[in-house]
Amino acid sequence: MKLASFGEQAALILSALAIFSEAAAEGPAFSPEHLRALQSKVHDVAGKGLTATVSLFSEASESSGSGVIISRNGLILTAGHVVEGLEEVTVVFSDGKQARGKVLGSNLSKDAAMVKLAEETEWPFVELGDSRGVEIGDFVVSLGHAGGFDALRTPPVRFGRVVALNPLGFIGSDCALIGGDSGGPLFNLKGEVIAIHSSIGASLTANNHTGVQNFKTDWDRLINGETWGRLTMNPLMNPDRPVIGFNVAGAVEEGVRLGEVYPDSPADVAGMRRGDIVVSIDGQPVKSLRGLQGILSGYEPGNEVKLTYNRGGESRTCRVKLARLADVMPEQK
Amino acid sequence: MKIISFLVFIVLACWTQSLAQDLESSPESQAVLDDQATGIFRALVPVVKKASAGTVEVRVWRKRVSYGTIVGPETVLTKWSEVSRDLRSLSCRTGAGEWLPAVVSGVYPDADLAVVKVAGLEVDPVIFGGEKDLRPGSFLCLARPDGEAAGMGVVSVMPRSLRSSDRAFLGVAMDLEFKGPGVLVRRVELGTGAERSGLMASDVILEVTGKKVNGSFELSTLLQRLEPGQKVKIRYARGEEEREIEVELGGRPRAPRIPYSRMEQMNNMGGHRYNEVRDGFSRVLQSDMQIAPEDCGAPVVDLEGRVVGVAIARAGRIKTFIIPSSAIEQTLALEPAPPEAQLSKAGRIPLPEVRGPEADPFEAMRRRLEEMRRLMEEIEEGGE
Repeated sequence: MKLASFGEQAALILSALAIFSEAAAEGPAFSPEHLRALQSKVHDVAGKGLTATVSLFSEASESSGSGVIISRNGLILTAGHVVEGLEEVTVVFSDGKQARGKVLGSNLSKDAAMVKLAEETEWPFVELGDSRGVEIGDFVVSLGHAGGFDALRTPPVRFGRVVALNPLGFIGSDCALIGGDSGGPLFNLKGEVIAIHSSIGASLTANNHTGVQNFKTDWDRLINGETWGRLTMNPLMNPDRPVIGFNVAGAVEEGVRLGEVYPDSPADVAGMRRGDIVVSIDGQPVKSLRGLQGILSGYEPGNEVKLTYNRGGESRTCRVKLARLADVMPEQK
Repeated sequence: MKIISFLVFIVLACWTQSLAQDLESSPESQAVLDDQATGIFRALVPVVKKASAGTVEVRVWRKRVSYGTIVGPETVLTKWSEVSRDLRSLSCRTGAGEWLPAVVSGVYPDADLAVVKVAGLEVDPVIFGGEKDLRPGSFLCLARPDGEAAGMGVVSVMPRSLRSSDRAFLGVAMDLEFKGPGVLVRRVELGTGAERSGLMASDVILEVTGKKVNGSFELSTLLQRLEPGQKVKIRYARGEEEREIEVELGGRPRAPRIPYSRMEQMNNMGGHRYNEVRDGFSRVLQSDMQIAPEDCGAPVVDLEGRVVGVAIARAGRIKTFIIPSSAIEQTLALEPAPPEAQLSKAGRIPLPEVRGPEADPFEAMRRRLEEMRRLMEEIEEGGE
């Protein structure tokens, strides 16, 4: 958990005033009792989570990642890049027991994949949560086989907070991750899996997890073994991301105002122009650029959506077929 | 066919990003996080109160190189490899602001601990509270001499030995692609228990100490949880015939478990600093608490304020090692080695003067803000 000490806090520009002002009293107040209650929840989450957190090892690629069992019949969620190109993995439990797992589908654009334990028996599992309601500052617990399976220790428990959210369903936390953790679970304090470890940046607070909503959106395709999408460093720059083909100049009360419309993009073909205000997509209101990105992340290029927009106070609708980012903005390739 | 032994090198899945944060972090959310952190650290002030009183700063010239835990009359325990960089001008500074000259009187090289004598130090030693009540997920923090908590974290892994020689070693290379039942021996290492007992390549190990083994992970887990020197019964198949032998296990030769360069690369992303001596301890607790290398030597307390150990190493991106109270007490019961002998053995390491811009919190903060601003601009301009 990345928490600067109280003394160092004073150095942080944003909080320098808050420490000694009345405003601090409005912030979350903690007492040792609060912390004890919090600790007891972390104990429960860690205890239960450890039995369902597994190491995934491939003899074929000699690579090692993590995963988490989320159903009694042995369905495992992991990261797309952990099982990329694999058909089978060895699933290793914290107590060293091993089993075979069959790789099902992956959505590489969301770094989401599924594995199924081959043997039909009752497996230990944890409940799946909802990543949509997650907020900045939510406490989270992270598990994973950091550095690969190690017989002499259980997967290291990490405790932290949600520090960033991304419109494509990724969550950032300050639970530090490292090689071998990928595919491991991020839990809320109810012990539900809310995200799967995906990638790290340089900062200790740049630990990225793909939200479980990214699995739920394509649940059947993943179960049925479909593999699609592509891994990118920045999901927003993923060439396969579905787009309409315009820049957003800014948010206004009714929706978002269009800046540049890319030539020959679906927006251009539909006759949209700079200054138009996008109000909704398939009935889902558009409130911001992030909101728009979030809505579109539920679609694939080629899908058709109904767009409602305002021009000069007049409401219009059109149907557009979503394009790939790379086709609209070739320089993004 | 892939062959793998205990000395396996594996590629670890974790996808590192060269561009630090692609996730949006706004000034508003940073304010929420800062408020929360402030609240938590305030709540920890009464928790660390007692332990803080038994903590000192350990300085070389005017630079703090570690903290120290007061363990007896005029006696402080601190991290040896950090103070041994320069023993000429060692001093301690108490929480009350008193400066006292300090001399290293003894060393426990295996634990990387130094016993420092501080004449005139009139502060009661800390009381080691034991680590019995800890569980994975228990909250921990460091007690600083100024009465504040630093580096809040949790118990990531319960106490264990990091010494490879403490791990039992049979001496066979296993065939990972063998589908079982049992584990196919690809090669027997010379001079190991496996060789002496007559195990041979192509044997299939079926049971160890009466337990069936379904694969290489199960076999290695079973073996590693036994002690070197222990004798185990192994049931194996040679051709059609099943046999049983008794093997004396050895200690595991020292070898990296993982590709060093790849893990180091991930550990070093962002220029984080770790202690030079950070491995090989015979008993440590692992925590995710994020501390600086010069924070070692301070007592670590649980939420009840009990001293559960002494921080001994910032060891990587995800881990800080803590020597648990019971191991500290066992160590202190032994006679320490004279520091002179240890110094010549290690070769004196000069104190690095240049710590890099990362050491300056203001500089680091400015950089973070600049990164954030760039990111915000990218997001605002970046099309849908």
